[in-house]
Amino acid sequence: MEAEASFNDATSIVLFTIFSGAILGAGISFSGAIFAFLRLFFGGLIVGSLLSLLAGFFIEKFNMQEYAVYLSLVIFWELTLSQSF
Amino acid sequence: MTANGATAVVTSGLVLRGILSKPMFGASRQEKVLDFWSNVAFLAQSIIFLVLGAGFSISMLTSVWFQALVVVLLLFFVIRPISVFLATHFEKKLSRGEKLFLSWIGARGAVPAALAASTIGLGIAEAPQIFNIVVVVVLASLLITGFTGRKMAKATLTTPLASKKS
Repeated sequence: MEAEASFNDATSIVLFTIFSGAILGAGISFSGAIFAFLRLFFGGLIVGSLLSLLAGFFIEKFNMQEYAVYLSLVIFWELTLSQSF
Repeated sequence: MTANGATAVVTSGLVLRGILSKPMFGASRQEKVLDFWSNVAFLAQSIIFLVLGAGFSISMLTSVWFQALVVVLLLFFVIRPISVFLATHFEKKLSRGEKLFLSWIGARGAVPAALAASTIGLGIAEAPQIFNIVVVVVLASLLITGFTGRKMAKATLTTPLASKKS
């Protein structure tokens, strides 16, 4: 249920990004909106998965279990600051 | 622009949680990370609601009450049930009662309120009205789920959801 709620929030942010961009910009077609949604949503899934898997690899490889909090903080900071890639 | 930061953050959180649940980390370290992020989430939500509360007035309630009522009714009785039943159509572990319960308690949130607030900064003409409606809907959903959640759980659930593995 926690994951469901989190993904709901993420989905609403993606939809907001698309529609606010369409309202403020030159508009967007239906197919364009679908494509943008898939690109942003699944792009986020791929980037988030890759970065955390990489962090997991480093934690295990270099015995950095004690620093898991800091690593998760760095990942969050990087992804939040970037917003889009 | 090929990926969304929010989706990436949520995904990385779920994947990291899976990695941290490995035995090599130990329960205490896993708890430490989860506690840290629970506190960050609590702090972030507190800030959002404090900022929204600072801009809230009774006139906001009265100016958009009808539009907000329509949205609340649609959200609780149409949109949320349809989306929950569609999303869990192939989920055999959940009973009809549990799906109804999920439909009822799902609508709330700091994120919709924060997004509505950001429309004001974007310079959209209807932004103040959108913001007012969203704030009233969020407030109403918090109050409705808060006051009726226990009764709804008793009416719809036979076993606690938490005891089920997803």
